[in-house]
Amino acid sequence: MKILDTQARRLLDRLALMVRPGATSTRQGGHRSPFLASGVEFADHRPYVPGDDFRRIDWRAFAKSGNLVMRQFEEERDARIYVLLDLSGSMGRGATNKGDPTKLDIAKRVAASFAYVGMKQFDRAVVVPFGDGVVGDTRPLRNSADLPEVDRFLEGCIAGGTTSLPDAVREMCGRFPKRGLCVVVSDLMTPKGFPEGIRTLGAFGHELRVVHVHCPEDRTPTFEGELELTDAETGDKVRLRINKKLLEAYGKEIKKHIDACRDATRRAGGRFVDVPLDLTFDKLIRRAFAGDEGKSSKMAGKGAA
Amino acid sequence: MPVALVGALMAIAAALVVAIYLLRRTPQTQVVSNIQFWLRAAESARPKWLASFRIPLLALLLSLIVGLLITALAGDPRFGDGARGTTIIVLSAGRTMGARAEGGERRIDRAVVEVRRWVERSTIEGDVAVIRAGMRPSVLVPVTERAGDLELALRDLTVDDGPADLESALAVADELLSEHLGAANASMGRILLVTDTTFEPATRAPTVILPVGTPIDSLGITSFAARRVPTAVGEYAARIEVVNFSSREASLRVSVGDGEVPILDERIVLGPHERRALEAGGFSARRAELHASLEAISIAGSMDGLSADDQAYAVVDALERTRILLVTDGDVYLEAALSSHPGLEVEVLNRAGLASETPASLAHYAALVLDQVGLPEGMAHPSVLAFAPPESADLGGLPLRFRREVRNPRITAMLGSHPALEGVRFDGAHFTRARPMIETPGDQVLLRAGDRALAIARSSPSSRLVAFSFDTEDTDLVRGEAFPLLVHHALRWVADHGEPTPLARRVGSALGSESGLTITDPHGEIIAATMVPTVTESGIWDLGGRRIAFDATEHARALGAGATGGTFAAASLVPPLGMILAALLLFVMLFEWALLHRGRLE
Repeated sequence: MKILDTQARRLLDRLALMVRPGATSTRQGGHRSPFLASGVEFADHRPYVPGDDFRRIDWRAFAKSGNLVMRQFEEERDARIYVLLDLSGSMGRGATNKGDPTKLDIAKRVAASFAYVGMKQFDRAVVVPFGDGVVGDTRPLRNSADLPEVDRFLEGCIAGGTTSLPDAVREMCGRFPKRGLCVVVSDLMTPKGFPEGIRTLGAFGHELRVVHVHCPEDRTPTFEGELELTDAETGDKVRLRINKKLLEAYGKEIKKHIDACRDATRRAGGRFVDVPLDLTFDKLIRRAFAGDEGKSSKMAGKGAA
Repeated sequence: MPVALVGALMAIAAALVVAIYLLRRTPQTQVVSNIQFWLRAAESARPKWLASFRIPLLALLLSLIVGLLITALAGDPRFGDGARGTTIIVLSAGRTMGARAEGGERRIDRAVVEVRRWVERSTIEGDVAVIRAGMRPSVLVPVTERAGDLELALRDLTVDDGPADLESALAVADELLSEHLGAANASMGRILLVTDTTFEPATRAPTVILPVGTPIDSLGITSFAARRVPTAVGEYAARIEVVNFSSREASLRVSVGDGEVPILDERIVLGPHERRALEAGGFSARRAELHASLEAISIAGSMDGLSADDQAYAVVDALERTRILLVTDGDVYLEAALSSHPGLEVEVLNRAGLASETPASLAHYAALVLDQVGLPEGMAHPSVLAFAPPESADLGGLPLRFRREVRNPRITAMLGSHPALEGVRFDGAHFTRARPMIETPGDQVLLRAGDRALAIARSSPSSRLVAFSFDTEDTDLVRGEAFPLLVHHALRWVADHGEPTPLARRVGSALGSESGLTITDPHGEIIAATMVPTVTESGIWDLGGRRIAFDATEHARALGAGATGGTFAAASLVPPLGMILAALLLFVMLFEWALLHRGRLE
C-alpha cells in the first residue's frame, strides 16, 4: 500500500514549501537566495569595476547618466529538505483498535508528504529516520518520480528503541552539512533531549519545522487504578496507582515538556505544529505545512505554506 | 475456644491477607510511551511535606512498635508457657514432709522446688498465692503477680511435728479464690496441692495434686509416757513403744534420759514391721523431764527416712503432798484410790466424827472427799469431792437436789473435755443404781444417763465441787484401773482453783492460759503471745513455770508416697493474652505490609 495515494498527492500538488533564503542550497532552484547573481529577478545596480561582465552593463542607464553601472539579479537556488522521522518505540503507540493508524503511520505520511512536496519543486529531499542516532537515510531525491523509493524506504521503517534527538542531529549534520529545511516528525515522548536537539538544528542554520504527532493516550490518558506501566521504548516497568490527581500531574508534566519543545523551536526560528492522531489527512497536511494551528486556519484556504 | 482453633483462625486470616496481597501483586499491564513522565508526575503528585512524611513515618513507627512488641513477646523465655488466672498453691508441711530420700533431699525441699516452678509459671499471665498446710493452715504468700514475693516466705520454711491439715488448707484456698475472683467465678481459679499423702480434695475450684516423695523405710516412736509409781514415793516409770515401719530388719539404740541422767539405753533389733515396748524407771521427787530418742538406726540396705519420729518427750510432775480428808465409814475403794497416789496425804474420818470438826480444822485440808455424807450446818469447804451425797446435803453452800433413784442407769454421755475426766473412759462401766441430781444453771454435767445427771461439776469463784450420784458399792467402775485416775483428776480439779494444766498434750492442741502466763517454746524462746492456738512442735514447753510435754508419737506411721489426682479445668475460654497479642500484631504487620505494597501508604 502506498503511503501517499492519488488523492493525497493531488492535495499535495497544490502545496509548496517556502524556504527562507538563508537556508537554501547552492544549486539553482526555485527559492530565493541571499546571493545576487545571474537570475531573472532584477535586484539593484552597482558601479562597474574592471573585470565585470560586459553583458550585465546597463547600457540604457549609461546612455542617461554617462556612468557605467552593472545590473544585479537575485539568484534562485534549490533547497535541501531533511525529514527527520522519529522511529522510537513510542511511535508505535496510538492505535486504539486493531487497524487504526499509529503515530508512526501518521508520521510516515507527514514525512512522505514533505519529501513529495520538496521533490515536486525540485528540491533535494532526504528522509532520515532516527532513534538513538540516525538509523538510515534515503539518497537526496529531486524528482517526484522518486516517490516510490520514498514509499519503500518508509515502509521499511519500524518503531522500536529509544530516542536521542541531539545524537541524531549531530550525526545527521555530519552526514549532511548543507543547510536546509529540517522537518522533525516526532511524538516528542522523551523528557530529555528534544529541546537540545531542536536548538542544535537551529544553530546549524536549518530552517526548522517540528511536527508533533500525538495521540490521546499521550496527552490525556484515561486509564485509572493500580496498573503496571510498561515503557514502550525501554520495556521498563513501574507499578502505580493511577488516580485523578496523578493524571492531572501527568498532564501538567506533558504540557510542560511540549511547551519547552515549542519554545525551543520558536527560539530557533522554526515552527511547531501539533498534529493529533485523529485529524483527517486533509487537515493534517494543511496544519503540518501551514505551521501552528492559528496560521494553518488562515493558510488552508490559500493552499500554500 | 481452644487455643488451636484460635491459632487456626489467625492462620486463615493471615493467609487471606497474603492472598489479597498476591492478587494485588498482579495488576493490569498498561503500555505507555514513556514512563519517565509518569514517574515525574508521581513525584510531583506526592503529598506535600507534612502529608508526605506523616504516612510513611507513621507506617515506619507502627512497624517498629509492632516489631519491638513481637520481639519482646517472643524474647520472653516464658512466652506461652504460663498458667493463666489465679492459682492457689497448697504446700503440705506435715511431719512426713521432713522425710529424706536416699539422696538426702527432704520432701519439703522437693516440694519447694515444685512450688517455685509453679509460681514462676503462674505469675507469667496470672497471679498466685501459696498456703502452707501444716497442722494449722497459714497463707505464706497472698495473691500476687510477683514471683519474688515467694522467696522470703520460703526461706525458713519448716515442717510441723504433726500431720498436715490438708482439708482446712484447701478450704482456705477455696475461700481465697472466692474472695479474689468472686464467688461466681471461684471455679475459674485452680488449686495445686503439693503433698506426699494420698488425699481426695473436695473443693469448688479444680484441684490437682502434685505428689512428692517416694516410699521410704522408717522407724519411729509410737508411744512414750511416764507416770509416778503409786507404790514408791519418788519413783516414776516410763514406757516407750518403737515400731519398725520397714519390711527389713533394723537395729537401733533406744535411749531415755531424765535431763542428763540416762534411765534407759538399750540396743535392740526389730524385725520387719515389728513393734516393741520397753519400760524404764527413775527416781526424782522433783519434776522429771524425759527425752526419748532412737539412735544408731541401721536398716539393712536402707536408711531411716524420717528423724522427727525418733524423738519423744514426757514430763513427770513434781512430788507434792496434798492433805486430803476422807470422810467415810470404811469405803475401801476410796481409801485404795487415794492411797495409790503418792502425792496425797490422806486422813480418814468417819461420818460421825465430822460433826466435831470446825471450819478452821477443815481449812487445813486441800480437799474433802465425802462418802455418803454432807457437811454439817454452818461448815463449808472450797473443795469438795462427794460420792452419793445424801438428799438435800449441804456441801458448803452448794446444796444439791436429787431426783428419784434409778436402777441400772447406762452412761449415754460424758463431758470428756472436763479436767476431772481426763484420760478416763466409762464404756465398760456398769451401775446398779444411782440418784440423779437436778442440775442448776452453771453446773457442768460430767456423766449423763439419758436426761439424768449422774455426775456434776460445780464451780464458783470461791469453791469447787464434783459430785457423783452413785455409791462406790453400786458400780464396778471402782474395780477398774481408771478409778484412781478419776479420783485423782477430780481431786486435782476441785483442789486447784486455778486453771489445771496437764502434764502432756498432743501436738496440735492449744497452749495458753486465761491468766496470761508466759509461754516458752522447747528452744527456750519466749512466745510473745499469751496463747498458742496450735502447738506444732513437739518438745517440752513451759507455761508460767509449768512444764508440759507435747507429744507427736501418735502420728508416727509408715512413709508412703503421694499420688497424682485431680485435673485442671480450662481456666478461661480465651487463649493466652500473649498469643492474642502476638497474633494481632502479626496481623497488623501483614495488613500494613499489604497496604504498603498496594500503594495505599506509599
